[in-house]
Amino acid sequence: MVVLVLKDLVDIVGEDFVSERPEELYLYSKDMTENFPETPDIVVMPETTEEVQKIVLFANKNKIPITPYVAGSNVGGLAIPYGKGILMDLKRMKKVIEINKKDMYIVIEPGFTFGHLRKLLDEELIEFQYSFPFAPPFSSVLVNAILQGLGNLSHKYGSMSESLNGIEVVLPNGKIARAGTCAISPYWYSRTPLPDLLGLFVGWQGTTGIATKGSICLWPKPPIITHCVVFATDPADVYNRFIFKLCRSGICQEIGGGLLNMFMSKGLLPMEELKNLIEMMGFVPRFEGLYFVNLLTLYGNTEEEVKAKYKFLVKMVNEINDQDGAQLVLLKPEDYGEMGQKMMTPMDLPIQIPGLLNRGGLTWVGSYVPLSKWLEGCIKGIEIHKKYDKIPGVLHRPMKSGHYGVLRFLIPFDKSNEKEIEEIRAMVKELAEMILDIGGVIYKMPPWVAPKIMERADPGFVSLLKKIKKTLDPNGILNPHHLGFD
Amino acid sequence: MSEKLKLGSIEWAKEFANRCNTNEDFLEYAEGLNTSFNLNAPDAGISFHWRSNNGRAEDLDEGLNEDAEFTLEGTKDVWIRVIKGELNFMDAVQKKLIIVKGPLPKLMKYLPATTEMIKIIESMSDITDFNI
Repeated sequence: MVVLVLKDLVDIVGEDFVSERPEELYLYSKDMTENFPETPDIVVMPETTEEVQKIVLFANKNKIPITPYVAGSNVGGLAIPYGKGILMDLKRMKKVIEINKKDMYIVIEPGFTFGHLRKLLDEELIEFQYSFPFAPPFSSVLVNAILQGLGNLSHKYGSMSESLNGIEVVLPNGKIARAGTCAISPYWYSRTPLPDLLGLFVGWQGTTGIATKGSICLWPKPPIITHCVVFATDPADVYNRFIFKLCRSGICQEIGGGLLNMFMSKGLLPMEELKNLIEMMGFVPRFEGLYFVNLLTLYGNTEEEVKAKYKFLVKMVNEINDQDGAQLVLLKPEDYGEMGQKMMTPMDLPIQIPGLLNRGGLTWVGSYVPLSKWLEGCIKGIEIHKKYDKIPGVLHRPMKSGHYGVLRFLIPFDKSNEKEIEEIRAMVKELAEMILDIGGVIYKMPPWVAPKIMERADPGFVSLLKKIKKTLDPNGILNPHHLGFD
Repeated sequence: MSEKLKLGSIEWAKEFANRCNTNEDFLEYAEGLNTSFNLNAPDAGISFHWRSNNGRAEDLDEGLNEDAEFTLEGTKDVWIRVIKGELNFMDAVQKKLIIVKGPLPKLMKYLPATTEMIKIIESMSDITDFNI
């Protein structure tokens, strides 16, 4: 079969962009996580929507699974080809189709990365910004939005999918469809006022269609930005006393960080210096070796506006420390010399994550939780880490002004140690169950967690998902065995 | 002010106090900061002290006050580098070039005031005669 497929795919994209060589297939068989590897039968790299369409038509006719892929940096095994068959690498589709400054959007292809976007914003779109994830520069902007990821502006603008105005997809039957205003108008400016068909594709992990274009919002870049850090020894001080007030104050465009340890923060934050500062003050962390680092960005149109916000923040922190006996430490990195410069590292996105990857493996259990449940989830998660003798790293980000929040456990591990990988598999399952128990939902759900979520889901919801999947993809060719109901 | 003031002289210290007492940002951050300070450069025989009344510098005088709650101490060269903006004050503290003695948790609460006070010290560069 592979020989036949090879010839057909070569006819579509040319021989340079199809491979069945084992050493190349191997590269697509796994990611940095603990998820089980699987090797595709063949890899193809289309360059145009028409080529994607032809490949999908061919695959659907022959009932060959397709796994869409760009960077494989999702930290959830989402692009591991569990159906084998064709792995469709969309890296070559990296064009910017349209830049519309007046209506504040760009239309891009799936291979357009955060590195490309950084360059575009810095060189041509300096009056705009976009929400950047804590991810390497080769990650796909469009995929991140479709997978409902998060970024540094998520406190203000919500999940990345909320920045999507519209998409063009190749459906499993080979037809091309658009959703959003681009289905009616030449302008890709909004997903309303129409039935929101993006919901058929956003959050579906490429199981209902392959996105070939998407429009993302550009956000106005405030002329004045000031970074601040609020450092704490106890996450309860942050979550019981500070974060809700801060979210509702509306003074920040970015809020994020978490309970971090020295090992994970290497190269990212000056944890040694911050630790020294805290020890100098005589403060003792509630969880040994863990410090809560909260990065904030104040923004405004004038220096006076930002200064007023800073004063408001100072007053808020002082009152919380005075009245509630909390130990919050407010720093402005620009005042702190070398240490301050190092504090800015995680704010310069996209970013490589050397400290996290220096043992070869990295996984996470990431979730969106009611913000009111974050602290409970954090503390229970720390207990689970203790049980497995792992040092926790717990990230937080209040989303959309605090309507919900990110609770994410980051877990580096030795990718060459099978025993440790087995432990990690058990631990992440326990963490996922805990999150579901407190009312959270796992985002970018890895294949192993999808059945757990479906078990708990409303039966009507699951039935509807199945009907949609069956209607759009009757042969089940798109990214099979990922969402837990196929 | 055209004439420069010798670093660490009482006139220099009074100008520093004046700048603190007229800096609205500093006074706002320092609201509630009721304490006393020594500033010391023992190798140059420079020292003065003052009382902080909600940030306002009062009872400024030469010499060390043995009862002062906080003492900021460094060599003359280190202070000169700080005033000239060549050395960040917090870097100097981290590197133990400047020693802060006293109940630090109390100062921690007033970090924004502390950093503003450092900016005021740095702003003294334009009127300071460093040839002492």
